[in-house]
Amino acid sequence: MNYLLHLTIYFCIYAILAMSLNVMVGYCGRLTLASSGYFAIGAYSYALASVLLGWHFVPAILLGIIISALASLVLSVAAWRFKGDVFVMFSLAVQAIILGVCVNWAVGSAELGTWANLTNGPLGISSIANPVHTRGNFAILALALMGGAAVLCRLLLASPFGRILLAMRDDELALRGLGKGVKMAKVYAFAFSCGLAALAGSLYAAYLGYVNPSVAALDFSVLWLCMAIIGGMGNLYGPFAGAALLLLLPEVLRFAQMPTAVADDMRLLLYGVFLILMTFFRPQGICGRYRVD
Amino acid sequence: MRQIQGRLTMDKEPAFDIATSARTRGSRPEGAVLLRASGLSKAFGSQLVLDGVDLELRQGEVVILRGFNGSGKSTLLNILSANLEPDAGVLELGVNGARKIFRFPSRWWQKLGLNNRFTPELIFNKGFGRTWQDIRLFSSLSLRDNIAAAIPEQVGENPWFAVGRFSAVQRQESTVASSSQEELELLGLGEEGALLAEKLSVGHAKCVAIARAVRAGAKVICLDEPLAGVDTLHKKKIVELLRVLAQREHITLVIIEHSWNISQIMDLATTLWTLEGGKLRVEQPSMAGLPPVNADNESDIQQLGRTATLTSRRVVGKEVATPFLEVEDLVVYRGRRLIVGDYQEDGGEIKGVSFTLRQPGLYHLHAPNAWGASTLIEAIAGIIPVARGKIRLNGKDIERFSPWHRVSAGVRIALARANGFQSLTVREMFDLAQVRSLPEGFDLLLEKQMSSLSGGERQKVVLWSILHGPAFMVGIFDEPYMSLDVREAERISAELGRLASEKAILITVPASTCSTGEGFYEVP
Amino acid sequence: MVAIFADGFVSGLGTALLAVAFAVVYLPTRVFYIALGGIFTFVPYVVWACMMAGFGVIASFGCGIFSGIILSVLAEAVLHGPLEQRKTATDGHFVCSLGYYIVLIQIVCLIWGTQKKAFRLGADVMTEVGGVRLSFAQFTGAIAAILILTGFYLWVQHSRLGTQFRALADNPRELALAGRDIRALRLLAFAISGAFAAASAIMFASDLGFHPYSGLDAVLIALAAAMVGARWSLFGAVGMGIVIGIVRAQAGFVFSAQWQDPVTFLILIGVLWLQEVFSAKRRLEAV
Repeated sequence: MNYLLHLTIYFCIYAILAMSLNVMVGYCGRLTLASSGYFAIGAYSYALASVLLGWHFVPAILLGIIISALASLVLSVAAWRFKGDVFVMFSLAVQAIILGVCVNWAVGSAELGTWANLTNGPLGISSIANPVHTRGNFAILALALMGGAAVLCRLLLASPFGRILLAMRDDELALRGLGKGVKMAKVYAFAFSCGLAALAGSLYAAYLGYVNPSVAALDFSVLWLCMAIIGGMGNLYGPFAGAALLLLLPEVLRFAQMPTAVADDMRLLLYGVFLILMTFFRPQGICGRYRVD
Repeated sequence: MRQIQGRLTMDKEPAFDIATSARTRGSRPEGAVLLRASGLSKAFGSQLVLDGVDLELRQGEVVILRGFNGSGKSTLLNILSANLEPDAGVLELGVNGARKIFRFPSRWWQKLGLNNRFTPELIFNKGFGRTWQDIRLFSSLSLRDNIAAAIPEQVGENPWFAVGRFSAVQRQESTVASSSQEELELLGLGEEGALLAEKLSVGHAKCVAIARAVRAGAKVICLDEPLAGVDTLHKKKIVELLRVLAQREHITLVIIEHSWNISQIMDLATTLWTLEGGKLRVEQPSMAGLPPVNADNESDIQQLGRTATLTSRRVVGKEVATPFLEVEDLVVYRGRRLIVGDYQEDGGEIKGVSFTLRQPGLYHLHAPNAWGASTLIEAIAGIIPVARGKIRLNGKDIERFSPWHRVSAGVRIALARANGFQSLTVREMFDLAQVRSLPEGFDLLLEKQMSSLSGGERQKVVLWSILHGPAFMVGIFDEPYMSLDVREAERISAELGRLASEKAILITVPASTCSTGEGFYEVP
Repeated sequence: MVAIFADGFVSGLGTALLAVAFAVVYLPTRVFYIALGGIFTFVPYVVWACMMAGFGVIASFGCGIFSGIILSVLAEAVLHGPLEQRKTATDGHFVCSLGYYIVLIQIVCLIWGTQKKAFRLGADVMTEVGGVRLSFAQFTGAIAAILILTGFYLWVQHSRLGTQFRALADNPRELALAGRDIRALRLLAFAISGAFAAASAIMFASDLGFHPYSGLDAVLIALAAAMVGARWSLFGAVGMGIVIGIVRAQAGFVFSAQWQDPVTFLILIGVLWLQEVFSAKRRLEAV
């Protein structure tokens, strides 16, 4: 039962991440490798707010979302001018910078919380408060947050705003030729996307009680991008398919008597194979609408 | 159709209003000046496309913009819709009362993207809309959503309202949806509201694109080839739609069209703008001045549809030539647009292009711009796939051959405005082309990089590397004289004429050149 | 000061090899060849396995280069070539390349585990060149890189095939019309790319050791350098790679080792942005 709750919590975190990528990749048409960076912003903001300032759950999460949304301006301004490979480069640069900040904003023996030490470097931040005391309650909290994120996604993406995003993705120049500005749409969409990534990060930090710079690793960005692509994007269901697959695949492999370490590698190997097969046979993913080709 | 607050509504009988037509045809409307441009210039590399264009657009005008250099017309349209910045000039917009002046060249900070006001959105908000040659509907949206996306002042486009004022957004959405549905019904597409735009036929798609621009609130619409690639039935629909827009809705229109379609809209037109040699001429609308078909007693002329002709010159003293390149019923698309091929009057199957090149023989394909000559040649070269039809070389089907196989089978092709390889020197170009003997006049150029040469010099290198390269059976040259000076063009023309005494040579010639009567197009 | 410059120059040469590997594929095909990261990770393991099996150093290096070539040619033959036939957009190529990268990394993990490895035991021999102390691995790596890059330059500039190769990088369509088999030339491009990536991987692995996750960060910096440099020319990528190596070393000195990557990326995207802004005004619409 405990394990099932653990899986549920992780499903919620992955689903929120998949929704975040759905907005940026599926609706705005920008492949990104920066998601782990914004995840880390959420995780660290929550950790610092909770450990240093003693904030409760909701304000701490909101802080992470706001900081992440502000930090998304870098990407949205880049998206005003760039797309495709060049935008991927920008997103990589942003991820590298955020990782650098997480690893390095810690000078020698300075105390955590001073301007000399905001992240505690490779040691990370521990003793992060859990807002609820049982795993069961945390699972309910996670489900509620995921549900809330899903409702917000539905409201936004099924609205005229979502329609503008899709039109912009299909043909930005034609849309601008109809008098619709696209810059603010990108700013809002990216802020929403990065805010969702930060929400997932905060949830992660609250659950584990500990964060370190590894949450900002590029490998996570790659993994989550795979998850989103394979699950499918451009509609409201794809993210859930992607999250489910990411969660259940290792379980299936474990069921097949594979040792855990091997199972992890096999899962990633299968992901790589799926990505390749997908570009040939099913570019819209399991149940998405946006075709990556 | 009537426009009420930006919506088109259909009257029972959308009859052609003769009285209005008689009033407006043959006399320029004296409405307010909506747009004034002076000294517009634009060059691409060394090619000067617009050379100090002056124009004035008045309310209520229906302008046909025609020209013999295809890129000049679309360049001008792109400038007027802020998709392209001119190198120099002044543009004044005066729709909706508020005047806005743009001066070019723009300042350095504007080039960096800071405070750059010359954007498509701003131009549209001044009332100037446009449609595109390649239509550009939002392919993953339904038809209804395509029109809905264009409707201005939607509260729900602001994400804060989409979430915070959900019921107000929903109310507006249902109005928008029913309004879009009505538009579609007027276009005869009422049942197809949920159809994805990418699945729509070209004729229907063009109607939807025009309706989209109207629905977005444009007071001036620039239409880029609204009739190109459209079947006869839809041409009539589009012309009717344009008539309604001009005469009932009083929307000012600027229409780029080509000679074979111009006749269909000439009676709508109030003004004719002709782009020639980089300059604009303003005239009363008439069918005069359009390129005639080049008739020559000594040549065979084959009609290829849409005023294009293939002229062949018999070579004196040679036996009747054997067919070498046979093109049979060729139909080629770019995306969903039909480029090579003709829709039938009776709505039947598309008629492909067919012709035969015999060896020896010199052929000239006279085709107006945008007829699809370049696409036809690229299809023969194997660069783009063929939708239907056969290409036979010396009896062998070559549609499945890769471009380099076709070359080794004996076809050599020079595309229009071929630039060669920028990073190679001229000597390396000739080496690559396996030139047997260096042509004359290149001594000074041999060690220069292609990127440092002018457009004409590059064209020269590319052409001579084919002419002096390995032997071929069929040579196809797309607008070979385009960037050349007269002397060089004469030399190449003479060489092609000489080669035509052994091989099959096809040269495409833009429609303008046959009317200039310049000597070097006559082969001795 | 000189030592840092020399250090940067040497690692810049390794980055330059990788940058060329990327540019040689990117320029003619526009494929964002992120799978180079996988090849970069895979090759040192092949070398190490050969060494463990008793092959000599040179033979092992040779096997490594050969494996790099094979892996890269496979990418074109099985993945990017067929996708190109279907006229897949660049995003599709990127996703496929990402998949191949993941597959290669995971094969390495499954076969060899995730522990960091090295080609030799213990510290390297230090040599002194012109007053600068370099490790033997750095010294020989630098010499090899200079030889390879010079040889490549001479081949590309002066040989028949090299000229075709430059033409391919310039305008593949025109080259096909000139009667050259561009499918074969693309395979050659990928083979050269694999060889260069392998050489770079061996160079870095000899100096710093290797593990399955060392690939991506190093490769991405090289890729960024290549993207920026290749906008000028094939050898722009070389120049940019060397410059980046020097910049990184200086950044490591001025800030700290861990700030190298962020600072390098910041500079690269700054240059990229300026390039976009000052490039010849492209037509917004292809007519």
